Amino acid sequence: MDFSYYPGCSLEATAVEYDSSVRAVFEALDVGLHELEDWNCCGASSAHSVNHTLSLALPARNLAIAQRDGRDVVMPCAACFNRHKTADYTLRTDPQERAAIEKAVGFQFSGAVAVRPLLDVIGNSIGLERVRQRVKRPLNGLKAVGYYGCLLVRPPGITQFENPDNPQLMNRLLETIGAEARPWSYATDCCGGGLSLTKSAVAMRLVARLVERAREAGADAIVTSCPLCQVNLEMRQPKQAAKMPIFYFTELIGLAFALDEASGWWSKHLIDPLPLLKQLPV
Amino acid sequence: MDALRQVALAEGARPAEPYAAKFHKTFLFIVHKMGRMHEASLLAGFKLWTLDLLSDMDSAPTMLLKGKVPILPHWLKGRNEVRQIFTATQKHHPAETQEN
Repeated sequence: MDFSYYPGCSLEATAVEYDSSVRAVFEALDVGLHELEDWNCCGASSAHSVNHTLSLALPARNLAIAQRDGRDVVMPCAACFNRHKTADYTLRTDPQERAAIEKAVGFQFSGAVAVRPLLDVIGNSIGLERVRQRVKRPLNGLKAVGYYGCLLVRPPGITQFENPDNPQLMNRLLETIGAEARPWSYATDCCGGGLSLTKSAVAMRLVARLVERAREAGADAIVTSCPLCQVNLEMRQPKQAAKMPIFYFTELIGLAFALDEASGWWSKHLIDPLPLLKQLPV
Repeated sequence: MDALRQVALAEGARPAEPYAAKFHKTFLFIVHKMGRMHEASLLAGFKLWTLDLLSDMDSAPTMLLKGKVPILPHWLKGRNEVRQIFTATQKHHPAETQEN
């Protein structure tokens, strides 16, 4: 099993531990991950806020590279996934836009490769059973809530993510590695990550609410697959309150696999997760 | 929502959220030049453009020390291809992607 890999810009910077954990987990599962050569930024929210065609053409250049490589492309970043999936959907369904995008990028879209979110690839293509077989150190005692944010699941007509109003894949994955997935109703609420720099007060209110609801649900940590949510949830927690660790789901898989690389991930966090992890029975 | 924002920009409307508009412009300027986002340049450019140099910088030193904000940018080999995409799509939406 082989996939093309589009890390996205955040995984080279604020989410380096996410990138490292993705690569380590895929290696442990013996699944090939081939980074797209010379990939570019998808334009993120900025492109689609100001120029519709640009917001489709920037990710389309990466789709052209993936198409040349001939493998489905896996995307760990929810925002990048959303932009590439939107471009892919438009290329498949809108002939007029397709012509403009193909001309801007200089390629012919074949539709032969799929854009896949990382969580879906690990949970459904690689499969929970394969993950379960590789677990060496179940995360018994870890109580967490799964958090998807906005961009992985919405708009459902484009993202095609399972059960977008109440997705369960993250919970099933957490249970597979021995953690206790606590039920809550805020898994797809917005954390305000898109406003973290420009209207930080709004982001702080949304983050405080999410952390408070996670605590009410009995969780000691929030687990996400989105690098923008992760950094926002760590950076914008109320200064005066106790901090809740925010994990990437691949970090917890790597921990349950007892991967040596895991020890290098925790020091990258703005909220130190080690006090919580040290409480877990080994 | 995006369509309304794009029409407003095309007609030269003054942004209701000037910080957001400057953020998007800084972001796209960097992608146009380098091909990928460079967060240190984004933060520096946004701060300089808004003349808001000191507020909300609590996490910046920690992130630098943790190696989460690379100092040096990655320049895409195919950055001219990316610039060509900006040029080609500007014809469809002339109001934006004029970097300055």
